[in-house]
Amino acid sequence: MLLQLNNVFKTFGGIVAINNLSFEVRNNQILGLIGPNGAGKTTVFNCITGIYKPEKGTIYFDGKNITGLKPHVISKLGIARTFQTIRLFPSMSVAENIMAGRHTKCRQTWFDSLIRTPKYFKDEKENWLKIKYYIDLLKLSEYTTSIVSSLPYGLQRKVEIARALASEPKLLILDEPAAGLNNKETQELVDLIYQIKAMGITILLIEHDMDMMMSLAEYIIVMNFGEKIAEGIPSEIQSNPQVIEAYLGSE
Amino acid sequence: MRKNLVWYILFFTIAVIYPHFVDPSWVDIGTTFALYSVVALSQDIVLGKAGMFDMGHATFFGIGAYTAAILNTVYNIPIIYTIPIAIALSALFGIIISWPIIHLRGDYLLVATIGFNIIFYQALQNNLFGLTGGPNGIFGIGAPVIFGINISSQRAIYYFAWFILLITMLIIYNIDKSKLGRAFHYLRESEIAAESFGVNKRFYKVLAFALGAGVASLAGVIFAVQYAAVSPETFNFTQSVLFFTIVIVGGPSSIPGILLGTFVMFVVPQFFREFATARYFVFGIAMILTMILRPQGIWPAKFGKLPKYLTKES
Repeated sequence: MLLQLNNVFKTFGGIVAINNLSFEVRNNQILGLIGPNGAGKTTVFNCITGIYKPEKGTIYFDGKNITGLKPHVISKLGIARTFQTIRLFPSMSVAENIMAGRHTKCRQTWFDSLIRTPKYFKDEKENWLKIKYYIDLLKLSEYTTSIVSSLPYGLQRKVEIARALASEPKLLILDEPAAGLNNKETQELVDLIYQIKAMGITILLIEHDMDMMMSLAEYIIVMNFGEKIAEGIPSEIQSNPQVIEAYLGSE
Repeated sequence: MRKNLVWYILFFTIAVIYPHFVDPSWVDIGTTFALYSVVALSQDIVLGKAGMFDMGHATFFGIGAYTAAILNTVYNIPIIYTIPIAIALSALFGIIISWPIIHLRGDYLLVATIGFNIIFYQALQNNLFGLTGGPNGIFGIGAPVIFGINISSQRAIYYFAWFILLITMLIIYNIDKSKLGRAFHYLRESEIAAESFGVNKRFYKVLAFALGAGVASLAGVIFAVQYAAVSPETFNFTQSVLFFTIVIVGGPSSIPGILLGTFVMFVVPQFFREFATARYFVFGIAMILTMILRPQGIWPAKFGKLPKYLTKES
């Protein structure tokens, strides 16, 4: 078990965003999280990554209780993410953006940075070469020095995934990675996600594209109004009357 | 990189021959230009790189100047030994001041730093502990002696100030091209994304203040030596506004931008000295025009300058 949520509860000013949510993610699984808009999916991601602190419940990652830890501490343990609304560093280049993923892997201290010790040179070279690897992996090499805010949406999404991969995570959290992509780009993304799984990385996915979700996810959790209403393999979910009701409304 | 290096060599060559062609008052302006550039570069660590609105940076400049002045005139400590003490003391102050306010955003942080500057100015004015000399300040500060050379002549102080500027530029360059500078930039560009990739927000923000305070303090020591005196109004809130504006007008996180900003905001008004205070029209007009025409600053920072082995196809 890589990730385990036990009875997680989170409110915003009296409104319950997540109510007693429990689920588990196994090693190297692709787990999908679906639900109508406002069901609390992104809030779940923000609780796991430490941006929000759950009021009740516990979250275990890789055998360690990470409930309420700061985002930078959780990141160091091996969780990387992309954001629903892209959050890159807009005025920096593609390579510098991806380098953010190496922040916890760079071993130079601030003092090494300041006066350029031999450790600084070795560390910089090692990590920039890693960046080159991820740039090539995502076929971004012609944009290496481009400023990210000048790139089209689909490429920005790729840079976000590259940045997350560069941190060599155990768990990759993707928040609507196909949003705003065309069919060709979506197909590329599906291939990429399989490639990431083959690297041994566990994937937690929110996606509204149901075709994509049903073909990718090995197991699906369905949320509505902050609660889990169903879970199971894709074929079970597709025929679950509660899920159909949540999406289409009752008659 | 190569092209930039040529420009920097040209810049410092001009600086070296400059005092031989101008009258003494312009040598003084050259010295102050170098020192103000150092302070503006230190302000930029906090404002331009880490993106925090610090409107009280003259405090740290003042801590350096007053530390040197008090240690030298009261305790007879040679100026050269006051430099590390001033840097350490100011950096410590930077940590203590920033720690409780670091989580404040934008304008709230700006108001809090103004508050610290006002407290500092009032402390100097009211002769705190009987050491700061009140509104008149402190006179008779000695000159540093380095390797037996007495840095007391106007030209010697000029070259010393430019040497300090060179060192500062190297440090700033190193920050830019390292994990440290990238972490500052990540925080400025998107705090949530930076934290989600392991950047410890509090550590780096406090460190930006400590480094900025330390470097500003170094300039302060030399400033005290230049005039052999210190007085409170050189370190009041208006001075902080000057340093803040230099960074914004010149180009945040850009070394040439900040040098240019210091030139426009400090040296250019000196050309119009015969117009007395009317010369500050230049100051005001420069600020307004830059913000309208070039909101990124006159010479904005350029990202994407990467190591050769990354950009060249192998």
